Amino acid sequence: MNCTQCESRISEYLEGAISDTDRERVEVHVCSCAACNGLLAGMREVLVWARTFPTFEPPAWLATRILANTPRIAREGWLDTLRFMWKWIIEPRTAIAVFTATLVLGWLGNLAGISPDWSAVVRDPVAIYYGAQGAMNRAYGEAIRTYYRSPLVTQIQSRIEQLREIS
Amino acid sequence: MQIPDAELVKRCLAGEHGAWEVIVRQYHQRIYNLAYRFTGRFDESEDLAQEIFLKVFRTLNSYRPESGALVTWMVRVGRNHIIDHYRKFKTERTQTDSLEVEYEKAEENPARYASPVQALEQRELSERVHRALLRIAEDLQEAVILRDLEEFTYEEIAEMLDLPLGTVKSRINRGRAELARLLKKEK
Repeated sequence: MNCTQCESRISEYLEGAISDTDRERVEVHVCSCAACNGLLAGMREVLVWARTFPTFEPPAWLATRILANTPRIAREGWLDTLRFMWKWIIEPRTAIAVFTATLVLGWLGNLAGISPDWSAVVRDPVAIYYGAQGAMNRAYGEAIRTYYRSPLVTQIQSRIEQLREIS
Repeated sequence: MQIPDAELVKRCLAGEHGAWEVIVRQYHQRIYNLAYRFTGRFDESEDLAQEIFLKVFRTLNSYRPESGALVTWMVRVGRNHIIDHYRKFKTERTQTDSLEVEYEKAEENPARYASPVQALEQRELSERVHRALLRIAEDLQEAVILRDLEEFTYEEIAEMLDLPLGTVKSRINRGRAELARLLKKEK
């Protein structure tokens, strides 16, 4: 056995995945060759280092951060959706936006000569707000869900990932 | 009782948040350490682990249980992502965290290490291996990491890297030999 043959067998020798005949040939060569003997010792040391290489504990917040950053829409149930919509509805900025939009639309309608049924508004003024709000939320939610559940979007995303993996 | 991978993935694809949480909590340490072994930096490993899990989430429907364990597939996705990242930021990736930075981190976060002194000792050892690892060829480096640090079998690595078994064995052997020579020079 020469040095090249010996070097190519050292890993198998160290892992015990070598036949008895080859083991003996490696041992005979290593005894007579200082370079291969040194290499064997060095590679043995590498394996010891690898075995004692520390496994680090990730920061406690890492799993939480990963979960929080996973696309929300794909993992929420209908109760989560309702909770999210409710939070959005009760936000002051939503109320202000709706109020402003109502004023502007009212003003534009007035300019165009369209007048609402004021008696109905007086009887139940909140109904208009919730009606419009509900319709907007439903439309928004539906659009988002349709987008993420669309087989075409999923296929395109999967294909892009596969192509990136291949490349 | 541990839920089988196929079941876990199926539930996850059905939109069950709990199943995804199980996957994240079960494997985030493994992925974090994989990233650390390739980069030698804790801050970078945290970001990479996050990115790898997002990638896993998006491509979960391409996992086939019959082709192997979920963790093997995740490591393959992670390895591809790390290599992409490595190529993008090759110029920045010249050294591991400095010992001073590491010591400060250890003091700030004692849960990560038994003591700052122990952290330093572990750090010196891993730094030495990393210095050498970063200097060997990329194909040998990943073969050694997957075999010796991640402890995958030769067959799993061959499947992961899409290479013949003989090539994997040869790369691991050459990688170890290169590493041994470099470490010897450093002494």
